[in-house]
Amino acid sequence: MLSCQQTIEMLNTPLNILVIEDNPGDYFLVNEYLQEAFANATVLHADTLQKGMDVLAGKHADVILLDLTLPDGMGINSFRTIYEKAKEIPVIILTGFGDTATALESLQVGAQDYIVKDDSSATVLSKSIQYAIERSKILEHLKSAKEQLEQNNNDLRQFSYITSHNLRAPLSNMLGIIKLIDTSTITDSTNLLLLKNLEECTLQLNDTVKELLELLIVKNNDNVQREKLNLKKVFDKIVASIQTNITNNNVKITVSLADDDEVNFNRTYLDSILLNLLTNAVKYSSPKRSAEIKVWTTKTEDGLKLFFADNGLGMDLTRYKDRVFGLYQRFHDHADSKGLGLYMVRSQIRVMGGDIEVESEVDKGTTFIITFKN
Amino acid sequence: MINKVLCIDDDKITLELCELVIKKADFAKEVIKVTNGKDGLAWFSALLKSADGDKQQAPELIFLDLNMPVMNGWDFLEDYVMKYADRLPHTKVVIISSTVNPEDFSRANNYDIVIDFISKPLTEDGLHELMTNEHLTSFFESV
Repeated sequence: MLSCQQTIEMLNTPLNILVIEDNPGDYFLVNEYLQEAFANATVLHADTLQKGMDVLAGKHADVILLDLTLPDGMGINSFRTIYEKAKEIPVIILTGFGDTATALESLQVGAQDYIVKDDSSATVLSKSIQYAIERSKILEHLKSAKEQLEQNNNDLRQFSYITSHNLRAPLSNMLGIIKLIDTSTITDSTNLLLLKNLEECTLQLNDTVKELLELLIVKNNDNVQREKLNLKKVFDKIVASIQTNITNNNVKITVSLADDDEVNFNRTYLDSILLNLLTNAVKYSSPKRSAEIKVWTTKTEDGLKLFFADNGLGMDLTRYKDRVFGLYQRFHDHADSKGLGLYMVRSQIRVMGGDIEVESEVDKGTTFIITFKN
Repeated sequence: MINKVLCIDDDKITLELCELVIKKADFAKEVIKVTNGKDGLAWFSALLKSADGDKQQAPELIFLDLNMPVMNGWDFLEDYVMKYADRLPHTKVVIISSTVNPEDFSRANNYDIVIDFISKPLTEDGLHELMTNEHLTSFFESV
């Protein structure tokens, strides 16, 4: 909202108002109103679109009042021509009674306001102009804030690539050196142990850096390829890829997926998501009962929901709810858990426009619900 | 075995490692090392000036790093393809980089001369795999 102070200021500040209107009678009235409303207004007049453009080429305008029925421009196209030429200047449409549909349409493509000519008065014009100018200032401000943010984001992305390179370069040298060291010639057992530990640390560091970089790539990738994927086929393939693990742990998997359950998704992401959920369910199964996993879907208005339920250890969601999908959050003491899996899963789903929820009860099991949008 | 390999990398330790691994894996007889793209180009320029009959002295393979000061891997590749690639049809390029930038991978695909993209570090296993590359198998058939 404009403060009183600002309003008064604006009424007195010099304003350049360009009126593009071919009807002399209409222009006469508008001009009268403008002179009445603004003490310091300079009204520039053009009676064709082309002349209006010529005026803009030579002079600055704070606001444009545009009639949509001109000899050289009709309807929404007149607005588009002007708007292309001077995006930063707010445009108010002047329209007759029958024309409100076009006027409304022009609001959608960037006009600030429209005024039905027969309804206009000094008050109406003054209010509309002041609001248009203020709104377009805010819009400009938002635009530059957005540009600034995009720039910052880009810088950060560059920064992370550079950092990762600077970390990776010496790290890969260390890996290379360790692989080349011939430990068979080392007789001192302490030195041998130290070397072994050094190797382990280096491998750990390498894994961590690699995983962080994978996250970085998911987060930064705006144009990931999508394709129609058959859930059942993809799921069967993932199950097959860790069949030994499943058999060894005696996990029973019940899949109730329809043959036409399809999602529009990135293949690599879907593989990684299902693999993550599946290995989690196996890893965190309960020692008290044989593990069961159930997978099914329900159709929604614009896609489908995939339910993925296990009868494993479960999590205390009253305590962990906000952290389940967080980075480096771990809820079970498990040797090969880093707290990256579910964070990655959610990142990959969100990049594709979907979402994931979780229901869980300690010692009962966990159900993940993924929403796919098609 | 390959006769000659040219390694271009700004990191001296990486270069030494490359040489050690290449020798250990019996991958190439001779390893030439330069520390940036510009020196790489200068090496080729000198080679081709020395005598036209010396073309067999050209390396069969260039191991190319991407991130380097003075002249990076891409700039080297651009110049090399323009100036020398036609005259040295038997020389191929393998990129060895620690890059994680997805753009680098797709960019490498644009060059026919680039036959592989290896993540650092270069290891014996990596070289053994490279030996099975269709462009290189002929060098290792007797092994």
